[in-house]
Amino acid sequence: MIGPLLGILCGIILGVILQRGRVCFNSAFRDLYLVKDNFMFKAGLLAIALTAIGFLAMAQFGLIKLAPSVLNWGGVIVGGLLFGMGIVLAGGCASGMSYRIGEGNTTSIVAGLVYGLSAWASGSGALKPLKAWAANLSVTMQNPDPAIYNTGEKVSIGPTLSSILNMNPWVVTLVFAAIIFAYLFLTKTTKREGANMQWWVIGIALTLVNMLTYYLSATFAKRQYGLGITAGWTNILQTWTLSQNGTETAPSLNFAGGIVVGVILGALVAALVKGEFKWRTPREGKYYAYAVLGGIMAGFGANFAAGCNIGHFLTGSSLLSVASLVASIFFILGNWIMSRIMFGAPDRDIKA
Amino acid sequence: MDEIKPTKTINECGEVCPVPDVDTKRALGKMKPGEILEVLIDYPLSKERIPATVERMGHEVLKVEETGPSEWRILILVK
Repeated sequence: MIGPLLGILCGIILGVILQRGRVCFNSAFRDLYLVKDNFMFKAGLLAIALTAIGFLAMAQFGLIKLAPSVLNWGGVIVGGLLFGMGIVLAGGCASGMSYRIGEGNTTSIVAGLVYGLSAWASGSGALKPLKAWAANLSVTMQNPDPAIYNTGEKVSIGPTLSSILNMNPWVVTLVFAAIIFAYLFLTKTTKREGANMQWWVIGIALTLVNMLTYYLSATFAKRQYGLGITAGWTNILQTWTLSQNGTETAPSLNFAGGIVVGVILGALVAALVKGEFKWRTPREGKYYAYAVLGGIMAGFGANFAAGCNIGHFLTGSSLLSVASLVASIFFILGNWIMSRIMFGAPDRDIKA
Repeated sequence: MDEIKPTKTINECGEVCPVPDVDTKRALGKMKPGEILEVLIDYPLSKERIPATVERMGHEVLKVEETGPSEWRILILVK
């Protein structure tokens, strides 16, 4: 019982950071291309670099076991592209649509529910064989060091940058972080003076909440992972809908589901306190249709890729997981393709 | 007191990013130097992003004013 409650606690902290920091990975990816704005992208990259060091240190001290995702080429490429395209249509990534529900955004409620249903449906029923077939393409990794990597009977982990290079994870992690730091501090950052939180504050805050989440989740819920959104949405919908039909045993809310509940609550409280809560409806009804279509694409994509912008981009990249890094690249490509379709070519009259 | 008369107003209430940003840029592209664009928004992120983007385009942000609960108006002088 303590597991879901701790999930909710981590989610609340995340929700407050997302709402106050306006953390939106859909716009982080898109703005790099569309308006040459790297503010939010840098916040995300800083979080990844710091979290990579933090996770490895926590594993070294025996607090957590690292669990990089299994690499499924079809899943991360096709699923990654679909997820990246879907979030542009849905008007928000997995975390963005979740926290905007707390701001009273009705389009996000539609997008979030459809996203969760789609992610769930993609792994069950008529689509199950497709997922099973794609799973044949999975690449797993022999556990290189049971002291720091997750191990168990039914546990599979995927390759990491250090495993494919056959090098000590510390060396690879520090080089990985150093490359990111070089980009962060040697290139010009887009100014956003009116922002509540500067990009480096957001990066540090996301790192701390991700480390806390990994620790609590591993210690109290036997879930060896940091922040994630997609599995939580599926869990909430299963808890809710299966308890209605009575024929199947409904699962109870788990740690991942707790994170999503917490994100919505945390964002709601933050928005209410700052007078930013409002029931928001789009001017044109077509945005609900976009939210449905985008939610279906993103949900299917996240299920196929086995993660979203949080589970893969933020948490998985920090584990140096090859699956997460490849998925992230295809999230960004998909995002750029759909941004181009919806909003046209990037502006030339905007200075970086 | 200092009533600024906008040349043109676009209402972006209900829209989330990047629609208000994109519409603002499109509207500015059609305006002449010296004219004033008024953008009405209710999406918190746009309040921070639109002024930042507009300044990088070389225009001047005259005012960001709160007009109601989670509602703002931004006045931009076209340069």
